[in-house]
Amino acid sequence: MLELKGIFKWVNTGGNRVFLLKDVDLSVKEGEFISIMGPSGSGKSTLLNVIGMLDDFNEGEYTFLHEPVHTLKEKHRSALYKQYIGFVFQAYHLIDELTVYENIETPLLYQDIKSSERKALVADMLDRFNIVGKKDLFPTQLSGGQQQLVGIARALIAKPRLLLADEPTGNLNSKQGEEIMELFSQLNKEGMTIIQVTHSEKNASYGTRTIHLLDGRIDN
Amino acid sequence: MIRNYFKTAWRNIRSNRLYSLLNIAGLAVAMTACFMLLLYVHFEMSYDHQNEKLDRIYQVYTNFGNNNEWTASSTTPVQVADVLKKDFPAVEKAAVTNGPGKVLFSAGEEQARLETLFASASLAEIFTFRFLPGSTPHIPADASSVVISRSTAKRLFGKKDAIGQTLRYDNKRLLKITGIFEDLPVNSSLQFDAVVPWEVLVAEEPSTAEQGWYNYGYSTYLLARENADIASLDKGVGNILLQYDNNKNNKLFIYPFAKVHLYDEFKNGLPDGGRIRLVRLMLIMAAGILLIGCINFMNMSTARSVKRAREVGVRKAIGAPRKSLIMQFLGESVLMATTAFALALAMTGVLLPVFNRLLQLQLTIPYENPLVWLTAAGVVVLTGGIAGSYPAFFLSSFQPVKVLKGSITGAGKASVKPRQALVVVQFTFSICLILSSIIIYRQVQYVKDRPLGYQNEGLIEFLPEGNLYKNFEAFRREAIQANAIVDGTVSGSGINESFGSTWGVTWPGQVAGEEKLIISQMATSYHFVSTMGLSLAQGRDFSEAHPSDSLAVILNQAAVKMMRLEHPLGQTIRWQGENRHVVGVVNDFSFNNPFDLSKPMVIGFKKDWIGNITLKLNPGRPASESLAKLDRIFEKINPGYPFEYHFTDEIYARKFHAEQMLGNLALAFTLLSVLISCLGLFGLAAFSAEQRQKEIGIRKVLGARVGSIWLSLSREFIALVVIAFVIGATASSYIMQQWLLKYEYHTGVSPLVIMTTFALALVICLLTVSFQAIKAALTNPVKSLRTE
Ligand SMILES: Nc1ncnc2c1ncn2[C@@H]1O[C@H](COP(=O)(O)OP(=O)(O)OP(=O)(O)O)[C@@H](O)[C@H]1O
Ligand SMILES: [Mg+2]
Repeated sequence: MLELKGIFKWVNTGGNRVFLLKDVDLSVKEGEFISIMGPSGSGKSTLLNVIGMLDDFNEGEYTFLHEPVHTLKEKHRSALYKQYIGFVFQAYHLIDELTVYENIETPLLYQDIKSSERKALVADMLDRFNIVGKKDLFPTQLSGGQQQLVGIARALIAKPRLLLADEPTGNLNSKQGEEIMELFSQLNKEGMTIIQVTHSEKNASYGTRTIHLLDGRIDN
Repeated sequence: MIRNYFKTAWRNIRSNRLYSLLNIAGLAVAMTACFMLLLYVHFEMSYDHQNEKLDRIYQVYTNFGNNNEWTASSTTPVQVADVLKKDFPAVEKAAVTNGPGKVLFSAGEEQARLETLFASASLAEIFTFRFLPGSTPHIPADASSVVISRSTAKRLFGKKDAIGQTLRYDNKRLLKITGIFEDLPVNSSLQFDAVVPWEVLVAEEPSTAEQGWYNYGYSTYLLARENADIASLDKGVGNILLQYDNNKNNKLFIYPFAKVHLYDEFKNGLPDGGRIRLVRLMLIMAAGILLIGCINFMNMSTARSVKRAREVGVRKAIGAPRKSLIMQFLGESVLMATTAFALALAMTGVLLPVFNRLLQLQLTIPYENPLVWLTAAGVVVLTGGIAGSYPAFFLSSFQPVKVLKGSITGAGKASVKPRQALVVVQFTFSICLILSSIIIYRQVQYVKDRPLGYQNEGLIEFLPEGNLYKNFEAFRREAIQANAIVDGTVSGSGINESFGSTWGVTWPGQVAGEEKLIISQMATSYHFVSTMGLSLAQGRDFSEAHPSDSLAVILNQAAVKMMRLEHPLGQTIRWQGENRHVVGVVNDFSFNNPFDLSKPMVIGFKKDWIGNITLKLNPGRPASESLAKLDRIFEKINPGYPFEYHFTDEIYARKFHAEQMLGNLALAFTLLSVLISCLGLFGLAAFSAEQRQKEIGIRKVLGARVGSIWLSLSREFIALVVIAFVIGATASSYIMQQWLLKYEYHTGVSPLVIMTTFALALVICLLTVSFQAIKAALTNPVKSLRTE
C-alpha cells in the first residue's frame, strides 16, 4: 500500500542540523496492522505525520498507492489524504467551536456526503463509542479520555483505508483501551490498514507487526 | 458545509465577544463615516443632473483682460443671447437672464420677497423645469405673466389653486400666474422661487433693452445642437465682442454648464478647479477613514487568527482541502464585514440628519439607486476579503503539523511587523487630522479675533425700496427722534462688502502704470463714518456743513499708504472720472474677505449709487423695542413694503461659513478616526496582553512590579505612536502650511500646536493601552498560569 525509501527529516537549530528521521525504509501492505514503539522523543509521531502527509520530509521517496507523494502538489496530496487516510492525534485536536456531533461530522462535509447519510453515519459512531449523551457538548466540557474517543470516532467516520493513530489509548482507562484495541483489530479484519503508535506491549500485540524506533532510526 | 462554516464563524464571534465587538464596531463606524462622505460626494457630483440636456448646455463667460491678466466672470452683455441665435447655426437655443434677486410680491394681504429670476422664454427650453399639471409649461413671453415654484404657491395661496391668480410685482405691475414648476432640487445651480418674463424687465426698465455693450450684468446660456462642433463654436463666440463692440480687451468663451458647479474657479482666465477640491478632499477622507477601519479589522483578524491556527491544522488533518479553508476564512470575515455594513447602514440613517446640520446640507440615502448598493457590496467584499486573506491564504499554506505543533508562534510573529506598520498608518492618519483640525480652528479664531475696525454691535441693514430712496433723511430723523436709532446712513453696499472695485484712479505723485491698479470703492452719503463707528486717523466725515463735500472722498489707511501720500488731507484724487479732494482718512477696517489683508479703498460721496441702508440701533434701549418702533416708522414712510432687515454682525459671521464647515468636518472626522484607531489599539493591546498572560504570570511570581509590567506592555505601542507622529506631523504641517498660505491674514503652524498634538496622541494611546496593560498586570498570576 505504501512504501518509504531512505526518508530523512531534519531541522536546523542554531546552526546545528538535528535529525528527526534518519534513513527510514518502511513498506506497508494492504491489510497490515502495524505498531510503532520506541522511547519518548524517538520520532514516532514524526514518522506517523510523514506517513499521514501532515508533515514533509527532506530526503527520500514516499509512494502511497502507487503515487509518488514527494512529487505531488499540495492539492493532489490533500485529495489523496482526504480519500484514504484517517488520523488520530496524540493531543486529540478537536475543534473547540464545534460540538462533539459536529466534530465527528466535519470530515464527511469535506467529502460532500449527503445530509441524511451523514446523520446516519454520525449516529452510528456516537453509538459505537457510547457517547450519544455527549453529542451536544463542546470539547472543553469533556475529559481527556472522552476527547480521545471523539478523536478516534472522527478518524473512522469516513471509513478510511489507512488509519493512523498516535497513542490512541494514551488517555483511556484500561477497559476503554482494550475496547478500542478490539475495535481496531475488528476493523483490520474487515480490511482496514492500521498503523498505531503505542507505548504498551499489550496494545502492540494486537498488531501484525511491530516496528521499533530509536533516535529517528528503525531499529531491527 | 456552508452551515458548518457559518456555525464556527458565529461561535467564534461569540466566544471572543470583545474582539468581535471592537472589530465589527470599528468597521461599522468607519463605514458610516465613509458612506456619509460618499453621499456628500454623490450629492456634489450630481449637481444640475436634473437637466435632461445637461451635456449640451453651456454658459457664456467673459474674460476681462487687464495688464495681460485675465479675470473670468460668468456674466455677459445683454445682447449676447440674440447674437448667438442670429449668427451661430450650432446654437439651438439661447437665453438671457438677470438676477436672481429679491423682489417683493403681493397676493392680496400675503406679501413675500421672492428670489426672482428675469429670464427670456427659451430658458425653459434649455434647462429642465418640471411644470405641474394645469400649468402652461413655458416661461411666458409677455409683460403680464409670471411662473412660480410649488412651495412659493403654497406659501402665498395655501391649498388654493394658484394658477390663474394674480400677483402684484414690487407694488407696481399685476402679473398673472400661468405656471407652477416643481421646486428646484437642492443640488441645482440655478435657484429661484419665481421667473419673471424678460418682457417685464424691459417694460419696467426700458434701458435694459437699449443699453450698450459695456454692461456685463447678465447671464447667458445656450443649448448647442447635437453633434455641434464645440471648439469652433467657442472660437466664434470668442470673436463676438470684437465684432460687435470692437472690444479688444475682453473676450467671451463658453463653459459647459455641467462644470459650473464643481469647477467654478478660474486663474488668469483658465479653469482652475474650485469646489471639486473639496469633493476630492472628501473622497480622500472617505478612503482614509475606511482604510483605518479596514486596517483595524485586518489587524484584529490576523491577531486572532493566530488563535485559529490550530483549527486550520485540525481541519487540514481531517481532510479539508485548502480551497475550502480559504473559503471559510474569507466567508467569515465577509460575514463580519456584512454585519458591520448592516450596522453602518442603520447608523448612517440615524446620523445623517446630524451630518446634514453640520454641513447645512440635505443629503438623503438613495436606497433606490442600484449603483449605491453595488458600491456598498464592493466595499464589504473588499474589506472582508482583505481582512480574511491573511488567515485564509497564510495559515492554510502550512503543513498541518507545523500549525498544530504551535510552531505557528512563528507565524504569529510574522504577522506582528505588518500589524505594527498598519497601526502606524492608522495613527499617522489620525495625527494628521488632529493637527489639521487644530490649525483650522486656530486660523478661524485668529481671524475672528482680528480687530474689525468698525463697531458692528446693533447695526442693521436693509434695501432701500419704494420711497426710501427719496425719503431716507426723513426716515432717519424720525427714527432718531423716536430714540430707536442713534445714527443711519445710505451707501452702495453694506460695510461687509465694498461696492465693487475700480481702476483708473489717479493721485498726486502717481507712477505710470499705477492708474491700472484695482482699488476697492464705497459710495456713500452722509453719516457713514459715524454710523459704522469707523475711527478717523485724520480729517472728518462728509458733512452737510460743507457743500463741496459732494466732490470729496475719504481714504482708508491702506489707500494712503499705496498712494504714498504724506499729507493726504486736501489732496486731489481722480475717482470715477471726477477730481475730488480728500477730507478724511479712516483707519483700516474689515470688508469683503476677512481673511485678506487690508485693501486700499476710496470712500466717495455719491448719492445716486445707493443700494443699502445701515442703521445703528439705540444702544440704551432693548433691540426688540427699537425694531418695533422702526417697523412703525417704516410702515408710515414706505407703505406696502414689509420691514425686513439683517444684522450686520450676522452677515459678517457668514463669511466664516466655509472655514467653519471645514473645521467642523475636520473635527468630526478627527474624533471618528481617533475613535477607530483607539478601538484597534485597544484590541491589539488586549491581544498582546493575552498572548503574554503566561509570561506576565511567571514574571509576577518572580516578583515583578505592576509598573514594570505596564511599561513592558505599553512600550511597543508608544514607540509606534511616536513613529506615526513624526510622519503625520511632518506631512500635515506641510499641507496645512500650504492651506494657510491661501489666506493673506493667517497664523503659522506653531511648535506649540505640534507639541499639543503630540501630547494628545500620546495620552490617547497611553490611556487605551494602559487599560489592558494594567489589567494584565493586576491579574492574579495563579489564575493566568492555571489557564495554560
Ligand atoms: N520542530 C521541531 N524542531 C526541533 N525538534 C523537534 C521538532 N519537532 C520534533 N522535534 C524533536 O524530534 C524528536 C521526535 O519527536 P516526536 O514527537 O516524533 O517524538 P515521539 O517519539 O512521538 O515522542 P512521545 O512518545 O513523547 O510522543 C523529539 O526529540 C523532538 O524534540
Ligand atoms: Mg509522540
